[in-house]
Amino acid sequence: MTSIHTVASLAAFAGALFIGNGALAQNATTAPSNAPSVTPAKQPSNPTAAAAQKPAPQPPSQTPVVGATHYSGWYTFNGDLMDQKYSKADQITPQNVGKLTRAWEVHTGDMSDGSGGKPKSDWSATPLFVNNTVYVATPFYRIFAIDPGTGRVKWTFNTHAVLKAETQPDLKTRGVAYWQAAKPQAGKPCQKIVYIGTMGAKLYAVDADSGKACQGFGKNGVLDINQWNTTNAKWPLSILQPPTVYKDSLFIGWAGKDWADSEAPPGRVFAVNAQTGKLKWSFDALPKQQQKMTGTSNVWASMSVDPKSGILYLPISSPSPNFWGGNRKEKLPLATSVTALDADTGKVLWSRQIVHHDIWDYDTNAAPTLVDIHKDGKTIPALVQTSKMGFIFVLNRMTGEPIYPITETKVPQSHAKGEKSAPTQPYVKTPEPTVPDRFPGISTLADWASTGECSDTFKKLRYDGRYTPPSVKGSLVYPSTAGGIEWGGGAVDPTTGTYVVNSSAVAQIYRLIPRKEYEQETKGMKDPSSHGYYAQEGSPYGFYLHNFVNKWGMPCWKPPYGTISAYDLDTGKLKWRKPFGEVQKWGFYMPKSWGSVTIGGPLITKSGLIFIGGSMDARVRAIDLKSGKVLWRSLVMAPSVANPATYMYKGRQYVVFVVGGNAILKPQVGDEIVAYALPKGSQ
Amino acid sequence: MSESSARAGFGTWILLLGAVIGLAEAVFDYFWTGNGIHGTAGVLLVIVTMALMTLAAAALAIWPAMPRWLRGILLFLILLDIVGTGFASYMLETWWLVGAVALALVGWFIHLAVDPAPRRIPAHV
Repeated sequence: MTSIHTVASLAAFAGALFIGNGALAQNATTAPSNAPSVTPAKQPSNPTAAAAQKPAPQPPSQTPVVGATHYSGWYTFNGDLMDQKYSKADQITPQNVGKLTRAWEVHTGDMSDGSGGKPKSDWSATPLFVNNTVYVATPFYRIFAIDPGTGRVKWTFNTHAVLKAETQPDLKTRGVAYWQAAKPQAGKPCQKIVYIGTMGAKLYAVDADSGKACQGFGKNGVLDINQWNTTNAKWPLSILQPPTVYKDSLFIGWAGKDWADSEAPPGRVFAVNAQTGKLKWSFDALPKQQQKMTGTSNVWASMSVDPKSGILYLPISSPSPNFWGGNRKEKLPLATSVTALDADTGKVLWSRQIVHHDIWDYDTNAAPTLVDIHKDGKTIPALVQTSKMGFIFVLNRMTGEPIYPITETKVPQSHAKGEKSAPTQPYVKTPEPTVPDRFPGISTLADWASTGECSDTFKKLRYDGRYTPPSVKGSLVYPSTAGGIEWGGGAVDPTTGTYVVNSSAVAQIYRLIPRKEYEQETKGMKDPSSHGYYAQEGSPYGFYLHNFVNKWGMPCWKPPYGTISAYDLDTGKLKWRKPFGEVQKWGFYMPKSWGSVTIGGPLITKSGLIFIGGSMDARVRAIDLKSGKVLWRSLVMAPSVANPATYMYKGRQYVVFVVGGNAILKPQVGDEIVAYALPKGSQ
Repeated sequence: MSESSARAGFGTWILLLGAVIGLAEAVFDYFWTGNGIHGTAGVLLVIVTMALMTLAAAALAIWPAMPRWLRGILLFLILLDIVGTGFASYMLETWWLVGAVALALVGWFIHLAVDPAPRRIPAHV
């Protein structure tokens, strides 16, 4: 058996193992102890059917706009509210991108390699550019406000959060959120606010100009989200993903502890007032009657908003436990779905489940991208939802109906005790999935290097294609919880309908272990999860997860392990697909044709460039949007596993990468924020 | 009785130069943090192979009249070292190191093709 340590070190090759554990994990929330001021959304028994019955969703209520709806700059985790990750900046072009140089860099000092009593750091924070400032959260839960032209630190804010792995195994953050009043009043504090969450479920509001706490928010500038953690409250509701900001509301999802419990905090999203932190409404993804016996189906990833219609889109994760569903045989239609809510009321407008009865931890893990596409002579308000399975769901964002067909396809059935797996799952053929339908076969090199270990192991596993369920003998799952497409999601050029997304292709072995055997196998282990064992307490099975690698840590399946693809959304056709990044092991770079497992998404500029970090080889790259050719790359301190940002400031275009690493890829960590620009005078 | 006597040829010195430059580069790569490979086992391996290459090339230079069989073995091992280190350097994407190994390879070929063969001369003339 391959230990988690082997896998982790092997991360070099496939990264995998812990992908599900770290950023991908699911999480949970609780029913608020105080009744929400607005009635929780009603659960349709069949959301898709519900959507079909009323093709025109109820228009969101019209409430006065207190805060601005959107701002100029790169002002959200995904650049803007619609998650397009698109910039109109065109100073840096395919012709001159080769001249890019470092304009400035900042080292925050906030990194940990796991020594010294602190967990490892894992830095996935998108830098925001708004209010003529670059704002970045660190994995030690500090905010840096930085001059966008020089890199001078204007101020820092320290939450003094406890630096312990209370839920996730690493210290992590995906950044800050920003709100400002529609008409900021000069001299009055907290007309512009930056928010940072902590693993301990605290949300801090900080004046964007001074860096001082906004006393009117929550209690002395801190909102304790854990006050609403009242069902199966086994761990705090970690606020690692920054809230989504729209009008005067913050929409807050949360992260939790992975794969530990059958009964966990049930998924809940909170809408609070941006200035006071007062709860406006909350939304439950699980029906009330099932909340106690299962849990999660939370929203741990980013969300998107259509400012025109006032619809909030949620990527909802899988219920607990993740790899056995005997405790949740009832229909949970909002679990592992993309769901549209009225942003003002929290009411469900439509929902589409992308995995039925999820027993693979296929969380919907990225905000859907909202874009209008042109098809059959019509302009259609569309939504692009990526997935860990590599399927790309293109839906009408007003109704949830598919623009390209989704087919219910028969899938292999589980034989686990007490389990009743879904007979069919939604399949998408257009756009072409980022991961092939079938396992690509055993790598000859890895098999040869291990004297047949890979093929011998493969013969012993259950593999019946996509959606092979977890089993006691061990199942090969491809793509696995490691993806497929991760939380970075994709980017779109709305002027051409070109959609770009990076994807991994990771094979993992899922093994259910009957409870008694699990206790024996993990006996004496101080931390079973560090060896790949997860209790799934309350279910008849513990769980063992590891990458399908040989004794040397080489992936047993054929490459590529990571790709980047461009699609024409108007036709659904694949324009190009390339292996992306390089795998690195012991310092050696593997062939480029292998690609790299990636974490973190791309951005697109009007000039026809894609900027992206994400790869294991600690490079950031610029890619030609038309051809997929890498035009520029630069070595940084560690893998840049955050979505990048770009902006114009005083006539110069900057591209900013946060460089912090992620143990999923390799042990290398960093504390670098680096901005690239063309040399002065050459713009 | 006879004694060995000869001068190291041009190729030997080129080989030694390549090995020394490569060793220095590998040590630099191991400690310089801005290259993406510092501190890795791969660079450590190359330091060892370059050190062995340096020692072998130095032996050829210092002892040009070594026995033919020993020279043959040494040259064969150096070639293996060059090929292996060259491949490792390529995989590490350290182009200066690839250049140094290429220089050593040129020296190896020159030594084989051009350098005077060691000859045995009478001890008492």
